[in-house]
Amino acid sequence: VSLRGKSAVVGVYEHPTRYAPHLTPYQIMAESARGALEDAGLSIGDVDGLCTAGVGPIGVLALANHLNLRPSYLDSTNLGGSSFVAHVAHASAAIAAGLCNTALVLYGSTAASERFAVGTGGGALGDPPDAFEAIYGPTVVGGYAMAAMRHMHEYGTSAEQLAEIAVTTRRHASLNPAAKYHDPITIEDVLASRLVSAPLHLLDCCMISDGGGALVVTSAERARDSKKKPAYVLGAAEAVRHTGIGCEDVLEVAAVQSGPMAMAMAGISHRDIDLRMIYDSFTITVLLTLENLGFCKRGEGGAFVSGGRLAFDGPCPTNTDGGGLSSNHPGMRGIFLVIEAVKQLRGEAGSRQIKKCSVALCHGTGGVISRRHSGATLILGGSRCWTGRTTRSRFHASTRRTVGSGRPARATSSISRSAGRARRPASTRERFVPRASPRRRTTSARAGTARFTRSPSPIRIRPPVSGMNCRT
Amino acid sequence: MAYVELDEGPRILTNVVNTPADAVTIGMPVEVVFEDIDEGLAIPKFQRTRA
Repeated sequence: VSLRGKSAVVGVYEHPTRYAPHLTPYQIMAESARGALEDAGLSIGDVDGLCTAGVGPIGVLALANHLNLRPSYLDSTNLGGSSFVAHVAHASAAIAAGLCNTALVLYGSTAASERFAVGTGGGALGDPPDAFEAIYGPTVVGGYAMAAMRHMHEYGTSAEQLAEIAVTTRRHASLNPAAKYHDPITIEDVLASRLVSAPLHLLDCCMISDGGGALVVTSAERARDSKKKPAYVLGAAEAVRHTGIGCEDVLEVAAVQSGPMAMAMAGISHRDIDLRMIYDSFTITVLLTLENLGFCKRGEGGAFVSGGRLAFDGPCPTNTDGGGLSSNHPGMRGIFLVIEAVKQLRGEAGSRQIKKCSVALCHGTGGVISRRHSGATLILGGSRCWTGRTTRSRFHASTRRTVGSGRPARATSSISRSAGRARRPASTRERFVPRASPRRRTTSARAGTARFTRSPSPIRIRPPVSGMNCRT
Repeated sequence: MAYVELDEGPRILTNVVNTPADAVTIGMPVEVVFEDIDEGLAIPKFQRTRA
């Protein structure tokens, strides 16, 4: 059993507010629900599934009350910011299992008007491991900064390279009328902004805004009658990474597990993906996620994001809405990844529309990298039966090999890749040759002393493992 | 805030203390110090190993 093609996102709505002291999160969710249902051409009476996270102790009940809904499927899974990406998968599974037909995924937050300290807060929620960490005064931004510091140390990644992500994302925001920040910024602007937690500057960090949004997920059958072009769910997976009882690898994020699983379910490879919507709580979050999803090798993220390669009109369009860095971030922004992906798949993204968008990958990160975080990957496609470029290119490659391309046998995969490109010019956007991969400084053990974490061996994308993920 | 890898293997989240922030580098040898945070309660922190 697979979720592939069983359901679709047929309605989306991003609440336009960025600051709303006059609204409650429930009002934002209600207004968003109305917008998404109208977008889908459905009414509240069609809704029999409800998903939300981040409101109240059991806010999903209050939300059902607020909307006067009596759904048969309820989901308030809270994985942090990635929750709403996971909700799409959960709703799809519920629809495939017959638990409901049409689910609303809702998010609303007034983090900005409440002056809620998201990034500079300790992130200590009172869970058992917090007792061993809160005594050292950790912050959310501190956890991400530690990963950035490690990446710089291990691979020579520069502050300029991280800043590239903020600069490109701001360029996208300037093309999104709803985004909070429109003025272009430069790498120098990022580096000149104040240090929040070394090496992360203010402009490496997402904002805190108010806001919210809604998604309507329904069965593929029902999606055929939807008002607009459906975005079919092709693959999804979730994962968590944590300290592993003393085995923390701060550069390994949950995407390393959820990404390959979701892509396997969808039956696609990296070159099939036209748009990446990657949670950008901080610039380093994007870089680590791209690496762990396998868009480039571990350590090559700095080169991968440089030169505006993530721009909507560049080779690897990423975060075309302006992201949490420049559009909005009410604390848990996963829902906006899906909203923008659907808009791009429909061709509704206006002046930031990417040329051809058939498949989009969304990846949400929740919690704190370097401590405990979740990852939720969702792959959406404009077609329910995505046969993929992979299959075609493989077939083509084997033909080429038969006639003798003169290449050594071991280069099979690269032949199939280049053959795929040859057939489909648009996929040349995936070509990526890292310039330099400065691997440096290995630390040495010293007897009688403890030391900072030593770099583990370069990571490989591996299938999900059961039990401990401990490499010592 | 830092992770320190103990000679015994595990990495623990902790603080580096008694060391100028600029002098803290990845891979730097450190040694444990215990800081009293309450009556009868001390937690391990780390400082640059003294030569």
